[in-house]
Amino acid sequence: MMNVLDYLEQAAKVNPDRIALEDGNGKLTYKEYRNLARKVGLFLMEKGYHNTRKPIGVVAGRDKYTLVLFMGILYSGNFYVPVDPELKEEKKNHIIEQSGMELLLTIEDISEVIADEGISSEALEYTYHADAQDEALYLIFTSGSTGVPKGGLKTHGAMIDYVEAFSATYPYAEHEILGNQTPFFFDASAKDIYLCLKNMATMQIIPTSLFSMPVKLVEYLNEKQVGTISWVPSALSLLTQLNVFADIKPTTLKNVFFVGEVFPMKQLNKWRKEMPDLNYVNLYGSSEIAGICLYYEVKKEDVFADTDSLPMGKPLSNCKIVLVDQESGKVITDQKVSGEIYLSSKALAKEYYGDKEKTENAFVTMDLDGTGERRYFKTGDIAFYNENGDLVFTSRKDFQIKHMGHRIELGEIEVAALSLDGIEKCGCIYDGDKKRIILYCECAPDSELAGPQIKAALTEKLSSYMVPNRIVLIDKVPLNANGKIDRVELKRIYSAK
Amino acid sequence: MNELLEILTDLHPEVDFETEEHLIDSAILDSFDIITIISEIADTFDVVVPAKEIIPENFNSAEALWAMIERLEDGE
Repeated sequence: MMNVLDYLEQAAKVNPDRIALEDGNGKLTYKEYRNLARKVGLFLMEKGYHNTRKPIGVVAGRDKYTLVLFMGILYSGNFYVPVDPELKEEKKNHIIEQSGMELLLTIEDISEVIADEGISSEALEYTYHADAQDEALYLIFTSGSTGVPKGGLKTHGAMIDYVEAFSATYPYAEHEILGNQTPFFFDASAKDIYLCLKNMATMQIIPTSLFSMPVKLVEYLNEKQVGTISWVPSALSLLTQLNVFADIKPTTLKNVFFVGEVFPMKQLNKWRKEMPDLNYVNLYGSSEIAGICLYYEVKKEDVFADTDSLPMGKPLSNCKIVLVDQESGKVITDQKVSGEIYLSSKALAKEYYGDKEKTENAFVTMDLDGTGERRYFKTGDIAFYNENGDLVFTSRKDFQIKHMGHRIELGEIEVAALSLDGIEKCGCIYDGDKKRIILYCECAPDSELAGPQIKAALTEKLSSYMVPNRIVLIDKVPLNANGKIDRVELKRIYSAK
Repeated sequence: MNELLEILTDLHPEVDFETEEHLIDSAILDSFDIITIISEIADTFDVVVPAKEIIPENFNSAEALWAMIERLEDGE
């Protein structure tokens, strides 16, 4: 396997008439997917982008032709940069500038090419050579927990490494149907795209509007016979928060993967109670690695209290994990000792595009544990090993604070708050000047919780120095484009007061 | 009805809820807005909106929402 297009070529040869992509407007077979992508490739070559190895932007809407554009750019010998269609002008310009892209394509730009029957998709010659493994595949800018966009550059080789390792662990069914929720400008969606290609699966690109109509969403999953989903926990929680399973349950669904953030245990427990026979797998990755690096499969006999944290589990076969003590820099092997996760894998991103300094700070080559020099990514995620040897997440290094002489994980406070009945979402921030911990809580519709009660309940669960100094009830905890708690926005709200 | 308009306007001050009739179809309200609206309706009117009522016909306008609330109130 030299580059990811080999998957597409293979699928078009073996299963030409199988549906590859379907969205609210129609479907494409694997043969059509390949042929249209080749036509887009030719179009770009004629435009002067023949094997130029340049970044080409794509306004990445929820449309099957977005993926045709991605593949077309690869066929032309370039790499793609997905951009959120709703992105504010300022941030968009930042991405354009930082990536140095000359072209930003929309699906309208290729509508004529796609409709033109006169172009032969066979006129395109394979432009990749044997060393394509190290060629750029795509570049996605993520806002990151600090609000400054960074672009992790993935290579063909990194993606193939992930796809092969994951497929060996979780083989897709003979004809799997995947229900895609993650937007194509969101790094997590690359898993859906390439696992589908490798496994010749059908991708149902679920229309966004269905997430506002939860019963119809489940009807859709059933009608399209979706067997696997890999969603962000906020999307999964939607179904349990709105109590959808009382009206309708998924009938063809088998595998539920969750990505991108911690699944609130309360909501996972509701899912498991209503749908006990599904496979639930927690996936952990970051935008500095293709796909994921840790996974935890929820076992039937697992019983979790709402206050428990779901383990991140063990490394995927292509990844090596080392836990490093933050103070001493020593490797941690003991249970229950927290440290930063260092990650080594062939699937690691090549660099933060155009940012040598950031790259050198985050990616280090060293011999951590006496097994030889390796390239590691310092994840900034703090975790510990539990009694089963599974890694358990505690918090982001950035959310780790020193308060009254104690090292505190703001994430731990959030987990404790989320375990209280009536709290749906929450986000914790720290005011370093005034030395105050502030917790923002979004409560359930029927909840009559008020600040003092929450504080009293937290006092029972947390060490006294960890109990928030202020608790603020808020209608809606702000989420960023990836559906994660937006702490940058929370800080803004806080300082605006 | 005024209480409902207040809830909606708090959420999206830029929208004229007395005239807008495509809140869902035009994607003015997203899934997170809907969760918020349902919790506000529960708080204010003591009405639990079942999942099967969460359809565009009931959420496209303030008027439709109000009709649904009244219907659910009567049903109890």
